[in-house]
Amino acid sequence: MTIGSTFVVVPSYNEAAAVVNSIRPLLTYGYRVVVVDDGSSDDTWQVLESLPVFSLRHPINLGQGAAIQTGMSFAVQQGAEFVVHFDADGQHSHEQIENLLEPLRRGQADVVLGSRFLNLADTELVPLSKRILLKGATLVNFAFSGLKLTDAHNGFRAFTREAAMKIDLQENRFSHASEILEQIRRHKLKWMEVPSTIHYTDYSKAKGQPISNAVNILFDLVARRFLR
Amino acid sequence: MTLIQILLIGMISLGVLQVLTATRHYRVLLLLVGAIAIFLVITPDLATKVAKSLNVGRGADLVIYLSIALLGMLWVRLFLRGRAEQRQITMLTRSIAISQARIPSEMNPSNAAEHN
Repeated sequence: MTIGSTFVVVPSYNEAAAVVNSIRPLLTYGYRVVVVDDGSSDDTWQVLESLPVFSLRHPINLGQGAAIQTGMSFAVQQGAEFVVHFDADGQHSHEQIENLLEPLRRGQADVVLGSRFLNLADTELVPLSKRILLKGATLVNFAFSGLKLTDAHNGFRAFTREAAMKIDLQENRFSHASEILEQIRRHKLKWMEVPSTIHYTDYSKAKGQPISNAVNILFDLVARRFLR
Repeated sequence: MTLIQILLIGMISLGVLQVLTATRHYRVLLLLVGAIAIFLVITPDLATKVAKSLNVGRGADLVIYLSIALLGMLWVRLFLRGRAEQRQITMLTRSIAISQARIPSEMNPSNAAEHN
C-alpha cells in the first residue's frame, strides 16, 4: 500500500501502436500508471511489459467503461489519493493533468472534468460535426443528470480517493461518460470543469467512436433510467 | 383434419418436446400450454367463442394478441437476464484482472518510498 500518490488509469484496447508513447511522458511526472488492457487482440499486453507500470488484463473485451472501472478499483486498492482517467490513443495532454489535480488538492472539488469548450483554442481543434454533436449531448446530459457542463464525453477526468470509491460504473461500453455524471449527482460530489486540449490525430480519429454511436449512447441512457 | 392443422400440431409437439429435453424448468406449464395450443388448433370454433366473449372479433386474432403479449414478456425477461449475466461476467473479469495484475518490477518494498 502506498499513500499519497496519483494514479493515472489508461484503458487500452488494441492500442499497441500508441500506448507506449502515450504512457512514457506520464512516468516522468512520477505518476503511478495503471494500464487496463481490455482483452486486446493485438500485442498491447506484450508491449506493456517493457514499461514500469501496473498492467491489468481483461481476459475478454468488455468495453471502455468496464476497463476504467477496473483501473479505478485497482488504484483505490493500491492506496491512490487521486485517480486520473487518461486515454491511451494520445489525444489527452499529459501536461494538463496537474490542472485537473490542482482543484482536488485545494479541496475545491471532488471531481474535475476536462472541457474542450472553455478555451477558444481548444474548441477550434474540435471538428465542426463533433462540436455540434457534443453540444447536443451536453443538453441531453443536463436533462438526465442535472449537471450543467460545457462538454460531454470528455474522457479526461480526475477524482479524489473518496470520489473514486463512490463511482461504480455499470455501463461497460461508451455510455459510462453520462453514467459518471449521474453518479456525481447522486453522491452529491463537488465537481468543476477545467480547460483541456484534445489532440485529434488521424490515429485517434480512426480509433475513436463514430458519430453514429450517439444513438446507442442515447438508448443506453434511456434504458438505464427506466429499466433499473 | 386439414393439412394446416396437422402441420401446426406437428410443430407444436416438436417445439414442446425440444424444450422439455433441453430444460427441467416449467415442465408442467409447458405441457399445459402445448395441450391448450393443440386443442385450439383442433377446435378453432372454441377459440372464436372465447374471443367473442372477450369482445375480440376472431379466435385467430385472440391467439395473435396473446402471443404478442407473451413474446413481449419473454423478451423483457431475456433482456434483464442477459444484463444480469453481463454484470456477473464483468465482475468475474475484473477480479481476474486485478488479482493477476503485473506490478512494476522496481516496486519492491525497499524502494517504494522514493515515489510520490
